Amino acid sequence: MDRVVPLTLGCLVLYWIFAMMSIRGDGLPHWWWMAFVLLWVIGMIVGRKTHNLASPPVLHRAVVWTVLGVAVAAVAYGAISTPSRHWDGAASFDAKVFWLTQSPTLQQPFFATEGVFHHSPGYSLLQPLLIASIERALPGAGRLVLPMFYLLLCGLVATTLRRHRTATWLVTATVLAVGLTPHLLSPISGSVDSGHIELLLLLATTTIAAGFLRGSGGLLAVGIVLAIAAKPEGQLYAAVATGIAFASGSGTLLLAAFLAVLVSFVIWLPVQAELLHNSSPVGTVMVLGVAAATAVLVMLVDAWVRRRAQPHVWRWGLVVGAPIVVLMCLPLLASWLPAERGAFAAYFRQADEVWRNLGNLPAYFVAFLDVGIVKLRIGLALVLPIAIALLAWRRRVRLNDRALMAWVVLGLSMTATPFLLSPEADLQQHLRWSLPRLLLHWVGPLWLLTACWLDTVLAPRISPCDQPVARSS
Amino acid sequence: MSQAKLGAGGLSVLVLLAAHILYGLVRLPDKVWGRRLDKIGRYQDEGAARYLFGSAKHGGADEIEWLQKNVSKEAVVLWRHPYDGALEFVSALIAPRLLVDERCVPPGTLKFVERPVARGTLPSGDQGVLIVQGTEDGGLRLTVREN
Repeated sequence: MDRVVPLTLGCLVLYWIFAMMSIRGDGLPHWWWMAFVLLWVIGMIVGRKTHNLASPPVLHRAVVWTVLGVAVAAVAYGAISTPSRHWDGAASFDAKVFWLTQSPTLQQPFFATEGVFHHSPGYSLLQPLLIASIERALPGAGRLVLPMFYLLLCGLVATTLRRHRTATWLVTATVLAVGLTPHLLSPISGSVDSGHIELLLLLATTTIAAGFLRGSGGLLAVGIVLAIAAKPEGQLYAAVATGIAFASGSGTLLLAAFLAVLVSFVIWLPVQAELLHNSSPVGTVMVLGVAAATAVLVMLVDAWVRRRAQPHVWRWGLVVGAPIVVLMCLPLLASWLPAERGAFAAYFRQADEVWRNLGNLPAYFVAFLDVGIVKLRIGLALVLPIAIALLAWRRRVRLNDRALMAWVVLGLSMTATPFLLSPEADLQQHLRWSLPRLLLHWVGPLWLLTACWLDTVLAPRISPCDQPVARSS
Repeated sequence: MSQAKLGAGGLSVLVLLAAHILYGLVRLPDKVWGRRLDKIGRYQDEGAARYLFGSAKHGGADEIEWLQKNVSKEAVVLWRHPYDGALEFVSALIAPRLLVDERCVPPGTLKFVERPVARGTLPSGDQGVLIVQGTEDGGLRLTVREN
């Protein structure tokens, strides 16, 4: 498992990069996905064990595999029995899968001809391409990609906590807790077999969380690329992850984050522009320019902050303050934003409404509590970290894993953004429809944080959670 | 780990963790398997259009089934605003037919992207180029234009 997870994540990223480089031309060769399976197999054979962790007890493994086996069987059966049975999957992604299965290239009318109905054209194609590639080779089996993502998520949580030397019983409990999340397994919109992209984005946010927890630039970069390759909001998540990498004070994490963002943008934005029929390159060049300028500026600020007396205060102040300032300044920037098409552009066109939409926040908070806690859509994933933080405060135990905590707190705060910038007229309907799925994106990071904190609180010793992020790899 | 070492607070947190896992386990037979099997059965019995529109409380399944039965798979079917609602599903449900914005196909056009523009006679007797239109309540209606 310890080799399977990083290898599979790495292969996913490589698959997406090479796919995006070839999809605008003649398309992906038929053997494309098999090359990555071969790469994966070679990696498994030649990869060396880089740690000396004991295997978990047989009983733990038996319990986890039995429970997850029942869950995976349900979602795998649900995935291959029918096409998507829920809105976004059926309306948007199944059509992409259908046409990519016919021919894995953008050079066909569905993608290339303006006027042909293409739902959510600005969405990345990683998941539809993977499903289509497997569908071409093994008809009817393409959607098994979805339960594979689910298993990968559970495996990632297990591997991360094991490498973090979390107590064995807690690793087992956390994997079960993530795997049994109600929203993932219920046959509802956003669940594993719904055909939506939420699971892939959850995998990305969890990989980023694992990167912060282990101080691993590689994991952070993979998570950021996956976030951008999953959905448009992944770009926002990538920006926040980069901000936290800056705040952590680790040059390795910051460099990894910027490289991942820049490489992903260079690869993805031209493809996205073609999908959106944006004939003018202004938007693409502007985003790339802003990203590159931000990278240079942040590196300069980083060098400046390193010379201050209390650098961490400056770093966290900037990371928390800058997004608020940008959000509040959006109305002033609105007229400068290019008139592009796509999901983000639709939100940016509402930029001058931000101040007025602050009135949406009370309704958002009520819905947040309702979905996140009262209705148990993500079980007790929100309740446990709060309970542990209170316990730590009572016991005067320091919970030091700031980077992961910031990722969770900022991530949960970001779930308010769509409701400040939404073009939707019916706020309640938008909250009912979107908020459960937005919260689902943070289940993995929430459980990693919970396990790390619980380990610290229940075992009063120096745990890796207490190490600064830069030195914990 | 003794109870004394855990303390009441630690025990409470562990109870919460156990409750989360137990809640997930209890849901497996009915909410995860039972409901899923029920939905899959309904989808297979009703067909994609009727299941999806029924779940989303939109009309339009009859229109989709009529298009699937009466329009060549090579054809282009035109659509007209409003966009929100059942119209969002049409493209996937009528594939491999292409769904194209009516405004991009001027009157008199016989072919679009090398495919014939769908023509036919609706059950109402109206004849002409077929158009799927979204309705104000999120459903679908079939209509025609002269050429």
